[in-house]
Amino acid sequence: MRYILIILFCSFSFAASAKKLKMEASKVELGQLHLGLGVGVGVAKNPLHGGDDFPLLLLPDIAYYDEHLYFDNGQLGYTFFDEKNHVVSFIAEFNPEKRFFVFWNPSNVFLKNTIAFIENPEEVIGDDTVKSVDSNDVAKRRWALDSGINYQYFHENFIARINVLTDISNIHNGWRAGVELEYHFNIGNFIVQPIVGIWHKTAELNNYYYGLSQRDNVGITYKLDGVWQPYAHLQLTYPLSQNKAVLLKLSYDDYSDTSASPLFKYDYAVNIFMGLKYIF
Amino acid sequence: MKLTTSLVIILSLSLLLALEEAIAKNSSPVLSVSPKVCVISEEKQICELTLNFEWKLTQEQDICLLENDKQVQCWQKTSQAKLSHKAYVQIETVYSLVNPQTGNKLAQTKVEVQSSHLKTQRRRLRSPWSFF
Repeated sequence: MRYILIILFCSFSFAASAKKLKMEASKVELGQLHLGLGVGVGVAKNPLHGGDDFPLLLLPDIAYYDEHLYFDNGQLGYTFFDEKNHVVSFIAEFNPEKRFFVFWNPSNVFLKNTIAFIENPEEVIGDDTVKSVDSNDVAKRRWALDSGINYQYFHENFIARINVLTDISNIHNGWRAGVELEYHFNIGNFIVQPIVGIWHKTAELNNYYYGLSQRDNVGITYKLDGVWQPYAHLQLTYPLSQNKAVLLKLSYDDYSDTSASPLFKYDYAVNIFMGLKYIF
Repeated sequence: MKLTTSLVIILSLSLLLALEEAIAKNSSPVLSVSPKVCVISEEKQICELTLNFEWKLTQEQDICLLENDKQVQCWQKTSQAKLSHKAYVQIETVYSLVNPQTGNKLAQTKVEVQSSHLKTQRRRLRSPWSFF
């Protein structure tokens, strides 16, 4: 939560000193594959007990747009309304909660105890009496395919987005709805893009990924209700040429409402990446 | 995270945005152009048009109007002016007001080129680099 406020504070401090230019929505050529690659250092922190942090050394940016159909960084969409300020699309994407249950690092199996020992206990949520459950020990969580409606409002100073998605793969059988605001301004040669938003996720979705039941066979059960999940992202770009730039990306997803689950070690998920981006 | 806390965050953000916009409207340099859009046909792939510029700064200074980084006209110690400019545009063209001494870009606007027969571009609907 505090990190959201920090990112907001930084963004609006920047905004106060920024030169006022109208926000330009980025455009893509129809029928052409847009490929970008970020090379640098970063990490996607995993908030679960036993979960692997994911090293971010390469950051892809992949988009393909046709007049109606598009694929953009993992989201497949069909735009059926596209006017001056309003765009409405059907969308489909994999539910991102599954990423915390992907075991990226084979050494996790051998180093798990060592890692648990050196972690800073002050940052671990809850108290010692609450039983924690390792995400490696529970039943497999599967990728769910969510689909729904995406509405975007393009204002000259910001973009507002509303998403409503439901599970169409019969995995979690829940739904999620979210609203977000994206802002865009320049400070000198820096391009600053803060995004803030909030998701509402239903009990079915939360229980599938973060609840504990008999199928997990860990000796306890745990049920969650619907939750609110705010987030803040900040992207700083310093262009070096037409297709090269320095990129800093920070994101903070708040899991306070979900973190009472014994699976959670932290009540937030943070990603950070810094490197050079190249657009092909 | 309680619902009320989340609502307070969203409301605070909206208020900040509105406030910043209101302040910016009163204090920012303004550059406007008319017309803003030119439609090209399949036969004639270039727009030949007279653009009417109007700009206003918060204080007098030396200023240049650039067309995609190419100088159109400069003024000395001026805070506002109007200009008619004969332009030939084939692609989206950005016009900006730049202080020639500091290199600071103070305002910009653009003339869009639309094709009467084919749409070649569209707005991207996700934030770039949004995989993570």
